[in-house]
Amino acid sequence: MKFKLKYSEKVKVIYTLYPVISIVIALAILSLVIYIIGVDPIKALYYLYFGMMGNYNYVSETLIRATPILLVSLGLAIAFTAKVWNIGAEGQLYMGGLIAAIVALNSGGLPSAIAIPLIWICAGLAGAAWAFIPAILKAKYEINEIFTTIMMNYIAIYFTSYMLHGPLRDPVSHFPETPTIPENTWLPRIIPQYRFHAGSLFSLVVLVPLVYIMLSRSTLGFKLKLVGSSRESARYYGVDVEKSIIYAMLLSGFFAGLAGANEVTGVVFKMRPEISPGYGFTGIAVALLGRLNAFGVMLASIFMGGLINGSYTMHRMAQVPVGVAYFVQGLLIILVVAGEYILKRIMLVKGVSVR
Amino acid sequence: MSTPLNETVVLMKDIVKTFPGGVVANDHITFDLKRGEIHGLLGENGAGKTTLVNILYGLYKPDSGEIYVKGRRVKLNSPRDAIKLGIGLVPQHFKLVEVHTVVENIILGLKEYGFILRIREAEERIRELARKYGFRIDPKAKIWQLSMGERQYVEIMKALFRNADILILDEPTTVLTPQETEQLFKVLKRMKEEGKSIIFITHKLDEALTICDRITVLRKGRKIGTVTPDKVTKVDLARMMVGREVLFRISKSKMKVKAEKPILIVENLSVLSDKGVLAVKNVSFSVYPGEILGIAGIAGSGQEELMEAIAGLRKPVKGKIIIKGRDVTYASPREIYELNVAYIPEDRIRTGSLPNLTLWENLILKHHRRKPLVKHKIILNFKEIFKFAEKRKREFEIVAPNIFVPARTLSGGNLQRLILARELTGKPDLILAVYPTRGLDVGATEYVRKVLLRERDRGAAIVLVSEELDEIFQLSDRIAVIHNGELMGIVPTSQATVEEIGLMMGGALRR
Repeated sequence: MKFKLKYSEKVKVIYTLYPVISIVIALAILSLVIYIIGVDPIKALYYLYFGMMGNYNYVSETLIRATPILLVSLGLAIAFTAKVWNIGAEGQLYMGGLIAAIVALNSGGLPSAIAIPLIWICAGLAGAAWAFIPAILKAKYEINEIFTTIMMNYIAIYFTSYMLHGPLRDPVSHFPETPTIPENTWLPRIIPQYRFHAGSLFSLVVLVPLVYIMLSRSTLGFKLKLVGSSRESARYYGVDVEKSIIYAMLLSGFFAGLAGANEVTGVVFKMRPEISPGYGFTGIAVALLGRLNAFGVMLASIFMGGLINGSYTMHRMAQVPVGVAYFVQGLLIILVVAGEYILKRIMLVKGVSVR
Repeated sequence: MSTPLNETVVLMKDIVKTFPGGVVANDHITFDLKRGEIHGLLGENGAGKTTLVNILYGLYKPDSGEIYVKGRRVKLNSPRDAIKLGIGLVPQHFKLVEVHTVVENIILGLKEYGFILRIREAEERIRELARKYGFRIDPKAKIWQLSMGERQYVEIMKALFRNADILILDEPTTVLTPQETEQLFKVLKRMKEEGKSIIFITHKLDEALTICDRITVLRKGRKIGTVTPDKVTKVDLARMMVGREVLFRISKSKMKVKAEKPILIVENLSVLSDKGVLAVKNVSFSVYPGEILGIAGIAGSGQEELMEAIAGLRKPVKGKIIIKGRDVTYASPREIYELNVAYIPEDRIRTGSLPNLTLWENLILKHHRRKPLVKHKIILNFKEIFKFAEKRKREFEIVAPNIFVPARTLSGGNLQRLILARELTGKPDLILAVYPTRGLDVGATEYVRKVLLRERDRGAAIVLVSEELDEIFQLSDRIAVIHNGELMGIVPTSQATVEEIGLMMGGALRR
């Protein structure tokens, strides 16, 4: 019995560390692939590391890259807790970015302290509004939100593209993009010489703890957890399941919209058709890797931001394709989802034997 | 094939079966079955009865041990092998296609009846079998038209049709009325006389003593012993089964003076089932504080739907539900439990608890909006919550390492304790208990019954749905009998007899 208890404890430790383990496995597979394409994996991984956090500037860049991913995945963590599978963060991010740019272009006269929060809130609401359609379809008619949110992505991306080619296009630019937004709407930089901006700081210091409290310590989080655990029972325990599904979806849309605003007001200073290289999808992996816990999601998004940046450095210095970042991301989703499932099975069985 | 009477037809020697996770379901069990005998396999839930017969039927492979059928050592890789040896299994949950006829169900999967089915030939054989053993069944009837007792006959005929001479019946009486049970026993005796051998799995002591020639008692995967009914009493059997003395009579105090105002009034209530047919038809009754109203009926007679309607989980199509003077016919579950109504659902795992959530989370369900568990209206107060959960766990003797383990790691009895602990928080005025002891072992059953009586004596009104007449008679002050969605009558327990209630359950008597 004692041996068995130890074994079950071992499984528990493995489960706790599993996100880290799955990253290690993913990087090992990556090394193998790099080796196969004829590059020295140690050299490649060194540049990957260097591009992630080789110096203060890279750290700052990693955090900047991580911020939109963090914002998206915080929202997704909320939705996924209620088992509402919002795959539409990308589209919600685009709508947020589009509205952010429109509001920013029209708030030239406002002081920054008013303009920036206003832009962010409008962008969040735009993301939420975009999520509202699948939310209501899900809550009222039980239409699978996975399909609707995926399809809504395309509508949002092409609608943005239309707006940028047409009504919102900067007349003097060669590219389909908006004019640069006025400087009073730019997010202030925190550290001189570095691009690290207020949006990143705000997300890390304010939003992460806020989401943590909401999910883990509030009645709303408890409700979402009930809904995620079993809709049928949640209804019986007096939870308004439809309303909870809508809340979960709207909140995740809101956060995705904020990610759009963050890119427009903190990084690009205009709206572009390629404002996001798939942050809305990266956020899915990050939310799962971070186990739907706000602090876990924070660590995971910083890792993923670093991975994307590092892959550019690796590409420049070691001629490894940039796509590896997304390769690792895909690997991680599979490793995390499959691995955790298997570990949970083992723990279930062990739980039985301990009893 | 022909073996003389009293010859051993099945011998299972030193059977060991361990499930992943280290649960030893069968620990060196030796079991033998003679020709022409009914051999009872008695034990609590989880004692290993079903595992043992599943091994004999080829569904599980034993880790070690030997099986001999009709004198020959055999290896059973699948039920097909078992069927070839003349072994038939009547499962606890029937596996019949409801929209097909009796014949179609019986010949299902048999190659001999051709690609273009030779139905008439099969029909003739079924009639012959029915005559021989005294089944009264029309081979052309559709399964859904049959009662549970008749469906059981179909399952038995299915086995006989495949020339089974060793029959395994897994808890066959669970779905039957007392009269149907008697009928079944007659059939079994007839089959015995014909030289068939029967393994009769049950956890009901009386049945084992009535019908079996020998009884083998299992407890926690071990064989405790094999006895003959004439040498043991019910108390002996219970002791073998549970491993300690069991009280059969829970002392019930006299009901206190009936209060004037009922807590629950149900008036002309009609409720639809999930399939959209009327499951409850025009039912009326009231329940007073300090009394237990038992609802007797065969499983599936509408009692689940009735209780769900009262708990607010199912909207009635007609009639009225009044709790403590308030019309709650169309109220939500939350509005109803806020009237201090406890609901102990039939399905402990799906409705009664959230198996993936921890003990403490399960314990605060329904209470998670109340002070002091919540501060500043929305923030969970963990200090108070853990204190509350620990206290509940202690009071209801929930066996678990701590309050942070998921509810799914609890055994059935412990899970029911958890549900009771949650539901009985705040001294409910009305308790709706649906099959509260179903699937529980004797110890846990005793506990649940005592708790229900304690609540009654405190003054709660209780509606108890049960399929065990024993339980109904032991606990109820009045018995309401439901048949096919209709209330056949309400009888004070002191004036009721088992025969009468049984007839009412079968729809043959109205009072």
